[in-house]
Amino acid sequence: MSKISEEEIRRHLELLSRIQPSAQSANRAIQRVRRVLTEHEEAPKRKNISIWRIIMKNPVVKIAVAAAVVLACLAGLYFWTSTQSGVALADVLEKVEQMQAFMYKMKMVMTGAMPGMPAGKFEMETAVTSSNTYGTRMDVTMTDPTGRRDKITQQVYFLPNRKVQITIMPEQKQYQRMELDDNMPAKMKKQNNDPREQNNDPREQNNDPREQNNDPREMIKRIMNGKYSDMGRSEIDGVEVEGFRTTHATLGAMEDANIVLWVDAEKRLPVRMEIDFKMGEQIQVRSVIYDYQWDISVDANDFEPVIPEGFTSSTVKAPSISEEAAIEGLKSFADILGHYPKKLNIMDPSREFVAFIQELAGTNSTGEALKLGEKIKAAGLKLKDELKELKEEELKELAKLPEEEKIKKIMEKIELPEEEKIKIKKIMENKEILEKIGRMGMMRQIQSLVMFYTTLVQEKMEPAYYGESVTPADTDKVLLRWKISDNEYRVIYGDLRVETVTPEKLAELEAALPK
Amino acid sequence: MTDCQKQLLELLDRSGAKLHMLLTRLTLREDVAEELMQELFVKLSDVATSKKISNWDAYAYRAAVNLAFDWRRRNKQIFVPLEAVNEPVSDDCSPLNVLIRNEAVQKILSVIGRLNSTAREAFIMRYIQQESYEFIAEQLDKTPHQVRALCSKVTNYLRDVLGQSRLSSTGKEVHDVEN
Repeated sequence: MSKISEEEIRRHLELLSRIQPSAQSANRAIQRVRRVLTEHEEAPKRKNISIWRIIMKNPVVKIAVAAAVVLACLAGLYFWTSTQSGVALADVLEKVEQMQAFMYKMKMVMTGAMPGMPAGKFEMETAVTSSNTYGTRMDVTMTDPTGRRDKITQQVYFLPNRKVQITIMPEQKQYQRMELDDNMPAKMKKQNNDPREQNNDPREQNNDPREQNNDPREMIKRIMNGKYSDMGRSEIDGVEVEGFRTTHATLGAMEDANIVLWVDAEKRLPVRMEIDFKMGEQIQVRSVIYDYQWDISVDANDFEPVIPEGFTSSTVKAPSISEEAAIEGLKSFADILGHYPKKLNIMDPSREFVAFIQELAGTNSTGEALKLGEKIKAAGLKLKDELKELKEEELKELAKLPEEEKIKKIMEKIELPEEEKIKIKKIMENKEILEKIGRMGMMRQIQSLVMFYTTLVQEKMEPAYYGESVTPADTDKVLLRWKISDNEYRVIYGDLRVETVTPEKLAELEAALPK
Repeated sequence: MTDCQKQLLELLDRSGAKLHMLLTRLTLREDVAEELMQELFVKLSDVATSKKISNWDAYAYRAAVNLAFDWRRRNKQIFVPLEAVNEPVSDDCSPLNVLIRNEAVQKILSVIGRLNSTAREAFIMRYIQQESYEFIAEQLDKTPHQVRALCSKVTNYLRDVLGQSRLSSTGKEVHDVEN
């Protein structure tokens, strides 16, 4: 480039000083910031929450949540139980921890019945980009649980610096903002820097998506915490690899786990990971993590959620994993269903809850509930037109009627098959309880409860849960207990009181439980 | 609504347009300026919860300049046509000349980006935002005289790095930027 004279410099500076952004751009920028700043104020205030919105306020979110729970469990690999030392993996971990940014892909296939969905195959493919500086981005493609589309997509941005996780759902023209715990970024740094400093107290755990997505650093640390066997050398895509394997996986609802990690023999970096396990008798999961790309170049723009104009937002809080949140989950569950969850494994509480909701709605499946929802909406729009034809006095008369009569009158005007009218009537009759569920954020509470219990299992804190026999009326019976030290157990009773007791006292309490 | 949200919304009403204009001038990209504007307020929002800021305008201005130059550093390979922005009509606007000017502007901004933060802020406020020395002094907690001296040094530095020698450029003494 030719040199610039001082006069030129001045002239260019003057040019710069005359640049004015367009009014549209300025307006867009300001409105966008205003939206971000006021998002907290825009939490949806719902009245008349409908069944299809409660069962699956967003089916995509729900399936993602379910998948996230599974993946959280996948990442909690405390079942490496051979006696071999982790010398080779220590090298791998050291190299992986030097990486400032990397990418990998993950394919997961779940076969069986997820809560609220018919039995079938659920597939999910995720491309993960992780940066120590900016956070984690996940581009997810998965089976549509409603069956209306072949696939649906999500972009998930986990942004610890901003203490937020943003999920964009293009097909739904929605995005969700999940507020993260204040301490999460610090905890992540701690985890990054020194695995010995990880805080394993489940009362203070968080819902870190790095763990939910098989972050290689977390996975290797878990492997090194336990035992594993060396499978020797093999070859993947022309690369000589060394395999590490465990088959001693029984954790929470996970059974028969078979986990294999393949590491580049020369570069000492992960190349592929394969995880197979069962959840109960009904669900088989196979997950493959591959196509790792190490030390890639990223910038802030890669982690900047681009939310298209017109997308609607919702704000939720991340499930918190604490004793208090677990008690809250138990209380809400019992308030709605009249009893505690029978089991606290990954799937059963959600399954129980969704079955209850479906019973309220008189439907057999979520898909049916969704279709019914659409029909009600269409009928409602037609009804709205018809109501416009009514005179003001007639409308006032309608409004004065008792709830039951009002429903009856409205139902007469809806043009739907009688069978569907019955279902809608049932929904409307249960409006109060459904609204209560909507307000409570039940799925989040169940998730917190399950994660708390799963963490107790992972941390080998000897948890025991007696939801099948203990009810809210059993004020002095042990509902849930876990070990907090050699001489102390924490106990949650049937009335949700909490107490720390000695092993002797616990033995007495458990002896009194129904056989 | 929290106090912090109120403060930031007031800042947005008061200085949002100006901050966005600054970001546009420093990045020469409206779309990037919009993105950075959001990033700026998210950062301010984070700061607001942990720090007590006495002069939000000055703080936001500094943060915006930093964000813009961070972006420039990350995207230095991107060539941005200046005609995409609202350039005043010129008698000599042949495509080649526009290109040369464009390249020059990029170069000037690149050198400004290498300055230390106080000098950079003072210079941008004076020559790109056209603020008075008194105003800049107040924002930077300096005297107007100190700001003049700082801007003068930056001008000399720019001339040394980018410019031709004094004699070959104009054959005259270099003008003092303060005048």
